[in-house]
Amino acid sequence: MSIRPSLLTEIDAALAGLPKGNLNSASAGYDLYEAYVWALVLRAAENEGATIRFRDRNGNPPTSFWFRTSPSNIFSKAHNYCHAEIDFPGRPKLEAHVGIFVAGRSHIAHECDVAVIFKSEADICRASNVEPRSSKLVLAVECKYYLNSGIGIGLGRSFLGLLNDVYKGDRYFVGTAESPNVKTLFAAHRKNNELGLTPLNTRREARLVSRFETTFDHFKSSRP
Amino acid sequence: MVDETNRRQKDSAKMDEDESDALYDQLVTVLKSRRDKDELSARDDYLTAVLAEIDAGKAVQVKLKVPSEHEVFDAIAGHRTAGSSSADFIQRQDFSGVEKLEILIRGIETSVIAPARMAAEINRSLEQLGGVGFDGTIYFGDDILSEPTRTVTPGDLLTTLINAEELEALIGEVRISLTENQGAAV
Repeated sequence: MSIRPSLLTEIDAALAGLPKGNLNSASAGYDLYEAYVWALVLRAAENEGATIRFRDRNGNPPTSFWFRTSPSNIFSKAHNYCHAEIDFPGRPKLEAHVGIFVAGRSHIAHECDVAVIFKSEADICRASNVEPRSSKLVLAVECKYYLNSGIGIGLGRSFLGLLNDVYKGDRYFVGTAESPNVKTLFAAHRKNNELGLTPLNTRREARLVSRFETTFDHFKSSRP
Repeated sequence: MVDETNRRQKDSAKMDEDESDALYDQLVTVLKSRRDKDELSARDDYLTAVLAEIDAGKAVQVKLKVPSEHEVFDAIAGHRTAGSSSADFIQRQDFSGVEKLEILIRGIETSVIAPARMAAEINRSLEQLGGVGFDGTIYFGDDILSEPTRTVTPGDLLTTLINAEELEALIGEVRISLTENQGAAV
């Protein structure tokens, strides 16, 4: 079957018609992917009955929202970085952040692409210029935006190594590209992952949100 | 007779390897030309990363016959190797035309269409959960630069989403041709 003659011309015209750069370039994907996964975490929290509020670093509701594109300290004052407050009735408040450092068991700072931590811990860290302890992470996600199948086995091994220092619990590895080897590695070690995750794959998106919901469900049921 | 006509129509709708190879080449030409016109470089140049993956080929497990390195001594024949055996190897093979098109399409979807949809999901969260007071502007930045590295306004998002949907529909047409081809191969 040959495609209709004008299809390639139309594809070229559609590419040409896209506004340049801001939201339809690979670099946008690199910048937005973590915030997108963060939004999926919030969707899961909302589905589980949480009240969500947005706050800037001073605790005020933001009129516009600042995300990090590179990891930095939770207490950074470079910009008015924002986060979400997650409130389940009768449970300690949580905060969801993008791109912050957390301190592992070794006291070494590790980057957390998406981190849900106790608000009490976050408050202390902002006030005292220290990193949150990884033991106070309720959920953490490692996000990899790759255009090709570049999620190599090395990244999978690094993630397993990282887990040794940031305690056990609900840690997820997600990426845009498929990687059978990494998938096999995580299956063998029973680690949460979702590879091939983009907004264009709604089935995987729903599956990941469902897993996040399970994490929040366990949090709601755990002892205060 | 009706069945035969349907079969012929269905066969004519299948894209064979030559057609998918030709379409791949045409699409790459269009995308390269567009990349150069739009001056996409560094992180924005998705095409180079995708073509590199295609050029690298795929890893396929193959069984190869290998000679044994175990030597035996025979009083009459002297030293000789003990036959051969087969072993598993990972071989690099070229992608088929259909596979190349699949990878290329996935690259366009991930780099050009997906970011707009990611922004829509982020914006949905902020608008629906954030309540009143949020003006819809999203800034992305780091600790090094004082200005945002990227700013997304509701206007940007709407325009880009409309255009991205148009592109997605066109790419969907190519994908349908491929799906029919893969169905034919089963």
